Amino acid sequence: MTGMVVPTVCPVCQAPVAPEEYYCESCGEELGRAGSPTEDVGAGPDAGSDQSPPARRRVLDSDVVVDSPDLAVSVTVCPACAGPVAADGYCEQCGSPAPRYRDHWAERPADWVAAVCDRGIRHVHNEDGLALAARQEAGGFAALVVCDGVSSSSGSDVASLAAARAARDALARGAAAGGPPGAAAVTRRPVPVSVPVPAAGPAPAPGADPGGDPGADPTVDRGEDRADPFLGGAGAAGPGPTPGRSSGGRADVLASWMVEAAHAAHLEVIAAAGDPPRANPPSCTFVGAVVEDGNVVVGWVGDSRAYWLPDFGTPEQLTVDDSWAAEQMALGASREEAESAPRAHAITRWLGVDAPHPAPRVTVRAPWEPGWLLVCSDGLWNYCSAAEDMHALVSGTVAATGADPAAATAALVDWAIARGGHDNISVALARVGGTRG
Amino acid sequence: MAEFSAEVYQNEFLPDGGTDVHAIVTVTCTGAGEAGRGEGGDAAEIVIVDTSGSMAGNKIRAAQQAAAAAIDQILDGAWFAVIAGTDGADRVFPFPNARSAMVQMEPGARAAAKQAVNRLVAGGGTAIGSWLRLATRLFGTTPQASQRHAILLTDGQNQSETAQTLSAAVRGAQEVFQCDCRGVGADWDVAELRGVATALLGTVDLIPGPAELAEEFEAIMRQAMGRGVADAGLRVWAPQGAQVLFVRQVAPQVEDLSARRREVNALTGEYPTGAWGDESRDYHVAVRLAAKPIGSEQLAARVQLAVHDQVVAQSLVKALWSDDDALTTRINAEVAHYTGQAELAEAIQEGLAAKAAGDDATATVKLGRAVQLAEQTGNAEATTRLRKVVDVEDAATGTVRLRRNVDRLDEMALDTSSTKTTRVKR
Repeated sequence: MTGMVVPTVCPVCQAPVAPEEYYCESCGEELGRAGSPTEDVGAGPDAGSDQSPPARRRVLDSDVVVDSPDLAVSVTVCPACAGPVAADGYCEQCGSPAPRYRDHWAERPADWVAAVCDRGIRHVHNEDGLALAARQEAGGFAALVVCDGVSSSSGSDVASLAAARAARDALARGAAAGGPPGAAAVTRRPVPVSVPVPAAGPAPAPGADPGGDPGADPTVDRGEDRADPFLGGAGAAGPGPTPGRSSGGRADVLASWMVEAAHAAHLEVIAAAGDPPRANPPSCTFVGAVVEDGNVVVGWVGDSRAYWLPDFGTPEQLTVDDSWAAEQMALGASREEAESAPRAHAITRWLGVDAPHPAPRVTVRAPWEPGWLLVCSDGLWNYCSAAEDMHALVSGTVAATGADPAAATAALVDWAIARGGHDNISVALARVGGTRG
Repeated sequence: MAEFSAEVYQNEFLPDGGTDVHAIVTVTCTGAGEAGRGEGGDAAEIVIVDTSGSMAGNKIRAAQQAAAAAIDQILDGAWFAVIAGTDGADRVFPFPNARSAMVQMEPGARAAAKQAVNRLVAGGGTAIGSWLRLATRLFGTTPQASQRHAILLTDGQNQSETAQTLSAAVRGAQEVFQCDCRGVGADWDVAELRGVATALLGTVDLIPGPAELAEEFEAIMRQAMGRGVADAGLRVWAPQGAQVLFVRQVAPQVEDLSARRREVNALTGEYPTGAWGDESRDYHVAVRLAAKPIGSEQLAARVQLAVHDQVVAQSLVKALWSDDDALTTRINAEVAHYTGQAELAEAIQEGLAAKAAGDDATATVKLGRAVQLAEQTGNAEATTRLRKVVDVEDAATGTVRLRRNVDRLDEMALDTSSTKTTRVKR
């Protein structure tokens, strides 16, 4: 951040502060440094007590901003009393346990893209991971990735975060690349021999029908068969930001980058299992979404979801869960019936050493009206599954918090916590097509 | 290189509105090495032998042998001296005409010191305070010896000076040296000598007859020489607004440390522990917190061991407020055991004091309670000693009768050993 005035005394207690300090040593006041929470974290309902890890913000050549905060470090100032936190994880003054950044953090690479990841209440660890990338110009480019670690395997918290970041980085590379990943200089980590090579690579050439590859299943769905008049893609009528088929070529390129991203995530999950892979290796879901100049491309493995929530039109769940519940619904069961069954959350596909089929399904849209792109883990949608309900929830939340996605994501996480916080909660929002109203 | 570890035993769950957190912290030292051979500076030892008139005969001869046995255990290179105590105090080694007040052990000095000890004669009164003052002065001449320890042997009560003089001498010796005290025969005052030993971070015990003296002195000195960590402090941090109810050593013997607290900072107190060998000690820490809502967690205490102001071990005492009765009503075995043992020590001491004062009713109640607690906590040694002082009708209810014609030595043995605890079977 250039041009920022760096305070030399604390604005609250007037104690001298060093330029590299984020907080006043004396009273614990946030100093509003570059990369400190006041810059990166939106003013959510509880943002006053919120602390974020030291940001590691990078601006890529393509003007895409990515943030990989160091979540391993612990909070240094007690949220309860502003006392210093000791190495043992408790406040030196009041003894409150310090929150771990890994348990709750927020990202906001641009004003129109933000996310919050939270442990929730019932789980001891936060095994969700998420990562964002964006250009500052609204709608220009954003990548949103959520990976939900499977808590019955060990190390899923490490795996899910590494996976989300690797996928995000791949999508950010795609923003800069004119062509598909095969054309760009992409270094791939070698896959251990003992591990089934995911069907993702080599990535399809632009314009190729990825569904034609019998081994892979990045079933790119352009929404042609959807009745929703608000969704473009198939040369839909109306003032779409990138009308007609002209987006098709770029959408296909982005779709191939989505396959690449899922592959990168998959390799991270495999790497987290160790070599040779330990028993009960980590695994996680994957959902990635890219917004680029009117195109929306979504890929997924497992039951983490993306929703398109237009301001006026019909909302849509863009992903189809790879889960027992979804299979039951495909067989005719009602959503309520299927999702309330004990096995509802058993996922049928995931990323990791033992993944049966780790390539993502991919879907493409070209929305012509403004709205919210929501990417989330089941910690949120468990309480609000149907697209209409999610639409109402997000609309109501935005009405209350304003159009800042940082505030909205924080409020949505709080809402899920208020509903019981039974699972880890990841919520990422991107504002597509201008501000509301 | 000495290594310390600290383990905590507690039930961290508190019910709604619960405020008091109890924990047993076991501190263990390994690799302590030998006294004076680590980084902590040289070791220094003084043997203090009562040579009052009552020591004449068998006792003085046994004391000479005991002092020689102790001298044999002092490691080469350690500074040492021998004091003969009466109604005054004399340095018998280094010889009174020697220029230095303490010398370093080597074969020649060892032989000479034993000769000096063999010339001790009994005569005069008993003024323990003056012995301690001389020892304090001798240690003061040898600042390079930072690990200082003394053995004190007496057979009588402190009749040649006032209690105030003795207390002042004890205060002057505090933080200068540690002192293990032993009483021989039945004419010394357990409470008086316990006061000296406790204040000087040492132990007190009864040696029934002269025959056991040498063995005991040899053991004490061997143990002292095996303490390679010269000095340490137990630190207890409690959060702002909390109250440390007590800090008590509970094994190998019970000792309330609360009054020894020295402030490290506003929230942390340090309790001196003296020197450490390869051993483990248990501490009972009780902290009162302000109650927090169900589901809250708070650190109730950090219990640390500090050597040279460096924290070398830490354990965390936690509080978690829960509405789950199954969790909050769970009784921690260690806390319960040592709570019982501490009460046992108190009941024995109060019972014997009441008996000595002729208050048989109180003595019967207290010693009855002691029998009950010894039974409950499985302290067989205490049970055996109690049975020599009271007739037990029903141990479970603590119904006892005071015995007539109790051997005074049995009573003193019960008193001196009252603070010795048994460990929890884990």
